Amino acid sequence: MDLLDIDIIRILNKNARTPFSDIAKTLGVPASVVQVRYNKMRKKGIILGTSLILDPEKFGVKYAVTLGIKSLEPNIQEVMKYITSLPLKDSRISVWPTFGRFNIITLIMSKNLLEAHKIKQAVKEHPYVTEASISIDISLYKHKFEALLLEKELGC
Amino acid sequence: MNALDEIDAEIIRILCKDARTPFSKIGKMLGVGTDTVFRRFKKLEQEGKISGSTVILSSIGIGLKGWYAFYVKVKPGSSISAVGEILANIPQVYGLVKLFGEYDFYLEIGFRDFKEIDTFITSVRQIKEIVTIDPMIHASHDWPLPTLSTLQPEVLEWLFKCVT
Repeated sequence: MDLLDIDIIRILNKNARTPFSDIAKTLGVPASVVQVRYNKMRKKGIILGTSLILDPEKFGVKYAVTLGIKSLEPNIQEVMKYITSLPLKDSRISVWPTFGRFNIITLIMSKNLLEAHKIKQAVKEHPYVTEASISIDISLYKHKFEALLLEKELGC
Repeated sequence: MNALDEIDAEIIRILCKDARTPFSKIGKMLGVGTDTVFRRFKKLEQEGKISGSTVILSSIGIGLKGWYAFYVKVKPGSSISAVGEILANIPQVYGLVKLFGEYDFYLEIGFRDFKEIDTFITSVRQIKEIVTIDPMIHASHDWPLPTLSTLQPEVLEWLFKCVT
């Protein structure tokens, strides 16, 4: 990767639909060069693809909640299985094992506060769960923020 | 909330897989005109459902060796947004989420070597307003960047489902 590659990524990071001809003009190189560089980065696996950034709030998601769970150490798998099999209508749960103060982290996205609350109750009432701490994600707009921060990763 | 019909949903599905798909190609795939796709896309943008598009990078591809996630608690009475700004300006921090509840921030850092973890720790220790920083998840496998904004197909379908 050289500076030209990084400049191309910078532009696509802000708007992945930018035509190669526009990128070429901005960077002062022929459009074919941009095309070649892009294809090369895709082939090498540096660029995995391009995607839309959606705003979950506009699709009715009202709550994004992280739930830190302390479970009895030998029963982590069982608790995780229990969480992923909870009946859900308006919510989605992701679960990861982790270390530190908690040993399970869950991310709950919900269109229904009542259901989000019920999930928390159900987790708390599980016999192997000793602690469940909830934090509400108040920046559902993080997505834009993150794309911005990504620039820093590329350095230079 | 405006209803999302099957054409809108299909446009989003296609562009989530490859945001560079030409509108003419999408039109052909869906059996509608290019102008229809263009109009629908603009409308989804105006409604704020689509807030942009981005390139997805491989963490290993850009030289990262691993990442850590942290929960951060700020001293009561101090400015949370000021702390957020300082955290966002630490070079290793690439994801920052404001929280309400027990913690004030969730943040993710990526690093190329151990020196960078050390730099991060030193930077954080200088922020007097932080009372607790709890390390959470660590992984060293390849992961797509940005992590939080790319949606799994299954989540995408769920987002579509309850739009009434």
